[in-house]
Order: sequence, then structure tokens, then C-alpha cells
Amino acid sequence: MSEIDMAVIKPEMMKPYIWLETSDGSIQQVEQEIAMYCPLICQEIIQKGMGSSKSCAICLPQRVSPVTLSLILDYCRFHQVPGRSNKERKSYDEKFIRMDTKRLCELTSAADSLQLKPLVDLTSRALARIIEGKSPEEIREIFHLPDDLTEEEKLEPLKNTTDDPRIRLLNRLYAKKRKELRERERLKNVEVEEEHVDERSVDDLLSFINGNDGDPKEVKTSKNKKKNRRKKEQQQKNSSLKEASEVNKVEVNGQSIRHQSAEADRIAETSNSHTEDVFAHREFDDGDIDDGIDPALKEKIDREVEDFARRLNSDWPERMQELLSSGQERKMMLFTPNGNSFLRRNA
Amino acid sequence: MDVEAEIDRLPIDLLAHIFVLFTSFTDLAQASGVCKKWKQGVKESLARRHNLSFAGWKMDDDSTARLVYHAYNLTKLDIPRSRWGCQITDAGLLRISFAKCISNLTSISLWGLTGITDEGVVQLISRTRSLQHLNVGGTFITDESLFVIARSCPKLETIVLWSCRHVTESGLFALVDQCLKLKSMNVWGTRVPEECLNNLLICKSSSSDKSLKLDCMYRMAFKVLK
Repeated sequence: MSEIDMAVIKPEMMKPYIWLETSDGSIQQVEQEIAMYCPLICQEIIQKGMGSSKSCAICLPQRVSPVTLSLILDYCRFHQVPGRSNKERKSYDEKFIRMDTKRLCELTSAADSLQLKPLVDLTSRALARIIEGKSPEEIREIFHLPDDLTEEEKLEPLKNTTDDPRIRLLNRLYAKKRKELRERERLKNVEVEEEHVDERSVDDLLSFINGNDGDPKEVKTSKNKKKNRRKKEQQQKNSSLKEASEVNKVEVNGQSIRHQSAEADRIAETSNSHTEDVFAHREFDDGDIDDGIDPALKEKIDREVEDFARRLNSDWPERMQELLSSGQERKMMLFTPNGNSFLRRNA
Repeated sequence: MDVEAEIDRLPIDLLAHIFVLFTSFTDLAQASGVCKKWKQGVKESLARRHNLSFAGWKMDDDSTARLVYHAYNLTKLDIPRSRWGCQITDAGLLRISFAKCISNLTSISLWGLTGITDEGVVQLISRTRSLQHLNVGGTFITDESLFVIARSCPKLETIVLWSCRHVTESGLFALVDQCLKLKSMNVWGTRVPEECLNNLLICKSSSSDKSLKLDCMYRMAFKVLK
């Protein structure tokens, strides 16, 4: 706190202790000097003269629980002592944030609501370190987050950054499954419509109305045949979809690979679009192309794809690890030929 | 899920603050795939960034443009050629030029992007208003780009034209004549004759009180070797 702020405080306001009320209604007595390290509390004392007694205790934001408040006060108690070296502060901070993710999140939230920026930065960095290098599935598991992504999104292709034929094959498989998924949706809709459609010809209907011997069962049998055929097709599609979802659980070095895809919009539209996915990639053409190959070869390719899907877990992680590590090795810094860096790397 | 996840209670602006600390675009991509709220947080974190550097990353037109669109407060943009090979083309620069942040950019680096030409550079630079530092070294731009830079960037202080072998003295004169705040120009490896470079310095010293640092050591070293 600055000297000007201190000068504003009247002598009668300068008391060694102040009263703070947490979200659960409990009131605590805290050393004023320590509590004033938090800008929000400092503001309440200076501007409103609050906290001087139990009856006019400073009401802390909803996100500050008694447990987090005591942690925050510990942090303030250490950091407001003058004359500590940066090394001391750093080592204290490192020990201070050694806690489970749940408490770390609570602390981040509470520090943010008290406008205690140094602690917000510290806890945010700790959370960032936890998140970095993990797949969406792992992140969801750590933080118990819901998966609100659709089945369609999960079947979207991988970015083929390495031009690896395996990814190409996998994308082809995904494209096939996406096609089947769309087909299944379409069939569902058709089936609903067909339930109301009478497939008998006009002559049959007339003879039936006139009481002739036109046997309506004949029509029914043809209908049943169609239904049976449709059921069989449905079962085949379901089995292939299961296979796709299994392939979709492929893990690369313990991280499951999944990318969103979106069509590239027109320039003018994309510049104004806010709903666009930031990290979306365009779909790969090779997925939906009917290569015009003979059925025998097509069957062979399908067999290869299925075989590949089975083998993927065994030797793929090592290869991907190599690629990823080589990609991270060199943090580039650009230099102009006279040795002065033009723009330093700061992503 | 019975109990709401603790991190899910964090407001989006706080999530964005966490994502700003990520140095890897891969991590940002992974975070955006967790859930809808996180995706929004990632977008907001991009909007908070002042510097965006794609150095060392394999970027194409589409992904670069998408990221730049969301970085509303960007002041420094660094799209150099990576070891993966040049991926950015004129189409990418055209898309980037429509981003909201372009008029606020003070620094742009397109170093070594061999896939770009005057067409893309002109589109991008003509929409900048606050540009102070520009690096187009190692590209195939010509005087056409330099004329547009001279017209559109009155605040330009430094420009790197290293190995831009298609620029001539007329382009350089236009820069010196119209960019009154120009302090430094790197013209290593250009084919501009020595007398012209001397004339540039004379022209600059007469037109303004500020001197121009003309970086052409390569040429001088070459002369000494001769």
C-alpha cells in the first residue's frame, strides 16, 4: 500500500485488528496490517471505514471460505514482511502451492475476488502447469469436467501434420464412419415417415374397399421383408460404428488424439464470426473420395485399415513421441544477419 | 456429475488468465477441446494477448488466420518461416488482413516467407496504421510493396529488407521520403548500387533532423574482400 493511502487513514481507524466475515457467516479477527495486503479489504477500510468492530465486519465475497481465507492470510503474512529476498519468496511460493487441484481452484477463485493479483498469478501458473501437456480426456479426469462434445465431433479427423500414411488411413476410416452415421440418421427419419405410408397400389385399395378377395396380407409380407432387410442393414452399421468408436479411443503416448474440424468460411464472414472454432482444421479430402478402385482392392484396403486400427496402440506411441519431441526440441529465436534479434519468441 | 467441478466455478475471465500463461499452441488446442466453457476461455485468452509468435510452429494459412482473428488486442505479430517449410501464402495474408487487430499492430515479421508476394504484403500492409517495425527479409517482394509501405506506414521506424533481391533504389527512396520517423533500414544482400545507398543517407539527413542507420555490412564486407 502506498504512503498516500496510509496518510488518508485517520488515527482512530488505525487499529491492530479488523473483523472479516466469510461466505458462511463466520466472523474472524485479523491483523489489520496483514489484511490490508488485499486491495479489496484495504479499499473497504479506507473508503468505508469498515471492519473496526464485530458489528460492522467487512463482508468478503461469496467465493472466500474460512479455509481459503486462512491460506490467503498466511500468504499475506509472509509477503508483507519487508526485507525478504526474492529467493526466499520464491521458495515459499513453491511450497505454498503444493496442494490438491480442488483447493488450488478455490484459492485462485478467492484470490481473484479479493483482487490479490500476485496470488492469482501464482495459482494460475500452478494450474497452467497441471493442464499443460495433457489431452482433453486427461484434463476432464483431473478436474471432473463434463464432456459436452457430440459424437460427430469425436469422429472428426486428425490434422495430418506429418503426412503419415497411418493418419491418412485413420482419417479414411473416420470419414467412412461419419458417412455411416449420417446415413443412419437419414434412415431413422425415413423410417418414421414410412410408418404412415400405405404402400398398396390404388387397384389393391379399391378391391379391398369393394370387399373383393384382394388379400391385404400380401402387402404386409412385402412390408415385413423390407423391414427385416432394413434391420439387417442397421445391425451392420451399428457394428461398424462400434469399431469406429474403438478406433477413436486410440492413444498417442498416453494421450488420445482428437481435433475439431470446420469448413473454411468466406473471408468476410470469418472476420466477423465469433462462433468459429479457434483451433478447427479443415476436413481432409481423402476421407470422402470414392477412389474408383475395384472391389477386391477396396476389400484389401478395408482389411488393412481394420488391421491398422488393432495395431495402432502397440507401436504408434513411440513413433508419435519421436515426432513430438523433435517438434518441441528447438524453440526458435529469429535473428537478423547482424546478430540483433528482430522479434523474440513470445507466443 | 453430482457436484459441480471446482474449476468449472471459475469465471471465464479467470480461465482465460490461466490460458494466457500457455506457451504452446498445442496445449491451447487441447484445452479448447475439453468443453464449451474452456473453448470460450481459450478464445478470450487469445483476445488478451498482445504478442503472437508462430516461430518454430508449422502453421498454414487457415490456422494462422483463425488465431489472429481472435487476438483482438494484438500489437506484435511474428510469422517467420519455420523449419517445417513455408506454409503461409498470399491467401493467408489476405485473410489475416481482415482481422480486427491489424490496424493496431506496431510490429510485423514475415521473415523468410518465400510463399508470399507483393499481392499479399500489399493487402496486409495497406490496412495497418500504427506499424513501427517491419521485417520482410528473405521474401520476394518488389518496389510495389515498398511504395505501399511508404504510403501506409507513416510511423515506421525500422524495416528489414535483408536479401530482398527484387527491391530497387526507387522503392528505398520512397520509404526514406515518406516515412519520416524511419531510423533503421537493413538492406543486406540487396542489389542496390552503393552510390544509391550513399544518396539515401544524404537525402535522409537533408529531409529530417534524425539520422538513418543504414545496415549494409554485407556489402561493405564484400567490398573489403575484393
